[in-house]
Amino acid sequence: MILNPQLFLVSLLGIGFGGYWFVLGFREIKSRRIIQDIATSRIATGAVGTQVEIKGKVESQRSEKIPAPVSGFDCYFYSIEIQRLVKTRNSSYWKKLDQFYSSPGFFIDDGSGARAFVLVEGAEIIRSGGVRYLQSRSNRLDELPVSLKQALAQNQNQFKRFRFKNTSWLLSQEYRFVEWRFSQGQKVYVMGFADSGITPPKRIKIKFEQFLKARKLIQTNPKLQKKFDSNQDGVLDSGELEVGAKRVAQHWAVKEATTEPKNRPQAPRMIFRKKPGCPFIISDQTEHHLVREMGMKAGLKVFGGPVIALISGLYLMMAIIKPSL
Amino acid sequence: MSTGVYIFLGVVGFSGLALIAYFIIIYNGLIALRENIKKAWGNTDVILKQRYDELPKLVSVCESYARFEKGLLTRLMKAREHYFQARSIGKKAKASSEISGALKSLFAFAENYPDLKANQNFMQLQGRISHLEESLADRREFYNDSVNNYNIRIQQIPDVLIARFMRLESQEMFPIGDEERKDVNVHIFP
Repeated sequence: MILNPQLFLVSLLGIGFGGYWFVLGFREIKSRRIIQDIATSRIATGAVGTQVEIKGKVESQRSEKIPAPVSGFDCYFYSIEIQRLVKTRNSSYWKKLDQFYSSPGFFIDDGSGARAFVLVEGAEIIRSGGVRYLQSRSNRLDELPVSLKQALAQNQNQFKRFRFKNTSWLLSQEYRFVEWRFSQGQKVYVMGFADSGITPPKRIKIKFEQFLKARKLIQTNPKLQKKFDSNQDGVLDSGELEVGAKRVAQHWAVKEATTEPKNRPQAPRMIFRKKPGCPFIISDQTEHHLVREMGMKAGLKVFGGPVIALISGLYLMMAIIKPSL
Repeated sequence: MSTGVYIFLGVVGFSGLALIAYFIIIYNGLIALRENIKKAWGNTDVILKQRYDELPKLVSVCESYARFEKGLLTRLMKAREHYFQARSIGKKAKASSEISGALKSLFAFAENYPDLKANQNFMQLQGRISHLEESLADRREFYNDSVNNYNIRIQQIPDVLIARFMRLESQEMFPIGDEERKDVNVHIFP
């Protein structure tokens, strides 16, 4: 048998991919079992500091709806994944470059009287559909819809690989902007590591107006003047006044952030975030559908992987070992 | 060696690997399930203990009202004593059910005592105990779900083989007792 260099390379890749799929399949089986084995918690009473599963409706950090940059539909949370078309000699595929979200996360309300906050970064998003995308070459980025251009411009500081800049036709590359979104009230399933809710920060950035107001108050209040007169010389100099005004303004800022007015939503009781070694899944599907889908995927990988690896390995053996025998 | 032998060896190799990996996943899964039950019970027991600690305060507030039903308070303290003596989950569940039943009756009878109902301490305790009861209901549901998942797993194929090897046995649920199911018979004074 004559060794074809291209087929030799494909066979090696086949062995690698087959083995990788095999391992991936077992990881999927493990995640599937965790989903099946963990009972659903209520947000108000569920234990935190561990792997938790909840079901509820999406609530936004903002009160108003926002237009999704690609589809233009009103939503409460969206994600844009920027992908680049990578061409090899035999095939082509879309490589993920960067991803950004409308906000760091969203709230979930399960009707138990408390809310959970889901920090989306690092989560595996499993959706039943509704993914939209736009394709463009890098020399025609200025022809993208205004909403997408605005979103890209706002988030360009956090991009690691993608440059939001028109290139020349000669150096242009194909890009794809993939969008998924959650609308208000959409039912979601979340399984991941949950921390306890946000504790209010002790130091908060003060507003300049608050500082001016505090300075004015100290200037008119002899009691405060005496309090902030650190060298006790009976005169409040400009340095002492500034220190005093900062302290008063800081006190106001903390008080404002920690008091809960009736119209301000309460702090979340649980915060979901990515933790190494713990599966973190967000899905708009029911647990039953999710488990079934994961089972099919796992089966395909566990059985498909070895088949690919075996065929590739056999070809290599026949091509390399047999002639030498 | 013929091609058939290579195929056979490859299939056997992958199957062996798959079996070992699957065994490890099942074994670890069963361990996790068993520990989940312990954790769920621990979290439920915390609420039971908190409620247990609130009961003497409630009794002392009610005792200050001379006319208040002494039988109810005795029943409540007896249920508390049963909880204190209970060691197994089943006995604790039974004692918890007794406490819930006695509390339900006590709060219902308190409707007849406007002074007691208006008492600040009583109102606070009632609110706190009601909140604990709600938490208890949720945690009990979670515990029962965890036990149910575990009990199903250890009876299913192929988990049953490993469960038998590990000598795992079915776990007790935290059922609602008869005391809790009973309707409260309240006699409202004219």
